Amino acid sequence: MKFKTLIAGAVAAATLVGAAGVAGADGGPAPSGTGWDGVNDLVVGAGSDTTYRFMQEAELLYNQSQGCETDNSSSSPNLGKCKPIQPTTVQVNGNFDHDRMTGKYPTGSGAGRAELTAGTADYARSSSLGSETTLTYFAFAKDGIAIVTNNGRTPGNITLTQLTGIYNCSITDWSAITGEAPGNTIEPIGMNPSSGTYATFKSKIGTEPNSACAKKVDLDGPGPAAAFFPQENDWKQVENSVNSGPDVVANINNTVWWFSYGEFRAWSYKRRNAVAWTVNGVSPGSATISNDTYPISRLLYHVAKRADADVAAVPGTENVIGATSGKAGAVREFTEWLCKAQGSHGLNDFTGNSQYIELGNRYTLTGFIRLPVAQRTNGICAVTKP
Amino acid sequence: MRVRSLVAVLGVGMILALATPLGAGAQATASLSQNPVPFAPGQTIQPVTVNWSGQTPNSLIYVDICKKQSTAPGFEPGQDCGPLSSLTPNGTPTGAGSISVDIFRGPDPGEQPWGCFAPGDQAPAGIEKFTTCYVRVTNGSLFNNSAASDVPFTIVESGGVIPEAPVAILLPTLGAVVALGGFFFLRRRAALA
Repeated sequence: MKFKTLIAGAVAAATLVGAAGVAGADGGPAPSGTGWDGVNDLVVGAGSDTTYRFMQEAELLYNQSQGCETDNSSSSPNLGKCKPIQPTTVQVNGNFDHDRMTGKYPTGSGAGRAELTAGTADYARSSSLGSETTLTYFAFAKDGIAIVTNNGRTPGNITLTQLTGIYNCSITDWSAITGEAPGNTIEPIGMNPSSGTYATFKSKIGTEPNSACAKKVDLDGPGPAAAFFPQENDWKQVENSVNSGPDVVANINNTVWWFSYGEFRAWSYKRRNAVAWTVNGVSPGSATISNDTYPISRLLYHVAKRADADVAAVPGTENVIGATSGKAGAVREFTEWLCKAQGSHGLNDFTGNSQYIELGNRYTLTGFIRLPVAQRTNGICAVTKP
Repeated sequence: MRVRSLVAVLGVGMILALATPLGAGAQATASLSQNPVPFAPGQTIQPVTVNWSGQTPNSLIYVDICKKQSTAPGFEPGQDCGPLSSLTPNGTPTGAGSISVDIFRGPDPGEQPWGCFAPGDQAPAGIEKFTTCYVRVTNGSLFNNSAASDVPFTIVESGGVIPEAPVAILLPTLGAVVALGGFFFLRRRAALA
């Protein structure tokens, strides 16, 4: 009889564990090995301007995951934490213990990765691939770089070779690009060098974009603020710049710049009167960026410390391995959630839609596209370990 | 009497003119160069030109292929339009323009669980079949429904359609054949007799 009871107990326990995902070594209902430790960790991301808006949306959706039922008794020491006993229907495939993800205001991809490495951020946003061997890069989206001018100049076609010539200062007049009469000096605008959009463009044109002929913007003219290479993806700075010296934009209709295509098409307030050119004869668009026929496409990354979030040597699984508790475990769980395929997502607590559908809507909102299937290595992401 | 008639005609004209919305000239419209859109057997992409007018001058244009009209309840571009079909040509000073758009036959290439099909097509499991889809044109923002112009389109398989001969040609031809047949039949009977 005792043996039977033991068997029955073991079966019941196995069933419960199966329903929750993984055996709970931390005690309580939170399955271990998942980053769920029963603590509502506050986890902070930093870095890219380009991916800031998308990641804000992703962080919000993650925070809206249904997760565990919480102890909501105001006098309880476990206020806001998972109740010891959870219903069998509890959702375990997204932020089970209600961690809180949030992103710092953008400083640029390189600066964000530096914060992650230094420990002042828990994960990083990056619109370019770095070389840090302690980090894991999870590419979750695809984007292009649009080449833009002000709408006072009729857009046309430009080649990568011409862009190289413009930024290495060997092509200086618009007549060399458009065939117009000479006399309109090209004003190539530089960019915040911490930006991933800067790094991507630099690698594509093979020369330093913040070169001797690159222009800065000056938002207060003779005021105390110095001229600077503008923050990426914001034409307002160019429109509002005051001509205060030879290294500052003088004639906006003679400028040329580069811009995240996703940001360009998603945000008219940032795009303003900028217009896009075709590059090597190809228009930027979802399909041409997805299939790489547009010559300046790139991947966008969520970045974590490799000790926190990593993938097995053999790709193909959407499981992310690494830390199992604390903020590091929360990062691992968030990373896996971001890269999960459609069938592995739970429901959004406000809309009832699959979080995969909700994430898809956020890709559209922010102008980006998911990676093509052929480029995915883990779930919907492509993982790179420099 | 003639003056009265003139005044009456002018009055009716004025009423008609006033009844026409002032902004009617700027009404956003769009059309496709081919509709229904012909596909050969096995063909999954067919480029078609979409023409539009009445969009805000110099405002970025958004051209998308969607399964619903912008006015449909709950319309959400992220779910109801194909993510890889989106084009964003620059706006023009006139608010009119055109671009080639790749109409797809079958599941959405951007992995949405729906597709645009010819009536006789069978949709794969898990894919919702739409025999009328829409080319949507708007400006300024993908989410600008007030300026959206939705062109419904259908898909036909061009190899399977037999062109219909006009009755105006068929009837006289048939009549001539019958008359000639009758003439030769009667002549042959007369010769035999």
